[in-house]
Amino acid sequence: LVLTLVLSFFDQFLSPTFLGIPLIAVALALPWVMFPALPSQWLPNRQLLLQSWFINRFTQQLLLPLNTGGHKWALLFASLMLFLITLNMLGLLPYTFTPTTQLSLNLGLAVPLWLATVIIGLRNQTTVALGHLLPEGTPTPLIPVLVIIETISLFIRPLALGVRLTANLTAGHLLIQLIATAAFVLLPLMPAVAALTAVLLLLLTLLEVAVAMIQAYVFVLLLSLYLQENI
Amino acid sequence: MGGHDAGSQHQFTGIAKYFNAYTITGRRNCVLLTYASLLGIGLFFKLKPKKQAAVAEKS
Repeated sequence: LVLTLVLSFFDQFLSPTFLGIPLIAVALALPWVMFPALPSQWLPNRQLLLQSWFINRFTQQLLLPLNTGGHKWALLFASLMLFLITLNMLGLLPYTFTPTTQLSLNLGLAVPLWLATVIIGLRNQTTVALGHLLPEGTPTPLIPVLVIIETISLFIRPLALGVRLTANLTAGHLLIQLIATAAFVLLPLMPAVAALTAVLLLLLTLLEVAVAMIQAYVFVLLLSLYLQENI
Repeated sequence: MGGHDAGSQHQFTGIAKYFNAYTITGRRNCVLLTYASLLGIGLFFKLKPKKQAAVAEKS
């Protein structure tokens, strides 16, 4: 007889509250403590050196295709990347809540930032921004169809940004919980199969580490691409 | 990707000078025309008076 407290596999995604206080606020503030401020020394310590090397390299690479106007977004992109990658990676720890599994959070990040790029484009270079809604060299009969299609694809961008991050992380966490439960349940019945499942779990966890980093990067990269079109 | 087309190799005459899929202003005008048309069609069907004649005949 195996008693388990897991009522549903989706309980891990419930936004935690304690005495009415939403703990997601604490969870969102957690990445801030992981990155200590740099002291005035040029060469502080190994961790800070690694951290600042990563931030500088990442920002430099991300800003390469952007013109000078886009460089104003450097701080935003760098901090957004750090925020997302930290939240995603911390969520892989057992029993840890991942805020980026909440669609509300991801849409809350995606929609305003995407809208900012669109408004910047429409304000500063209206003709170019509107002209982009029709691919160059379209055959004349296809023009109205393509304008409609391009408009739809423009408006689907923030949705895709938010849902991509949510779906990837939610699916990953769900898979981990399912396979871990399977390995645990199989252990007294078929130890050999349980061992194979445990190996699968290990591989999946490695994949989820990669997905956590890649999805954070993709989010910021796509935003920088949208900015490139409009700045 | 975001390069602006100078459209120098295209010499358009007539309506194609304003509505074409090659110059950036041509593309912009096509987009605006499509939006205006859709708005026009939408407004037409919204403001169209509902047919009362058949109902009056029956009664």
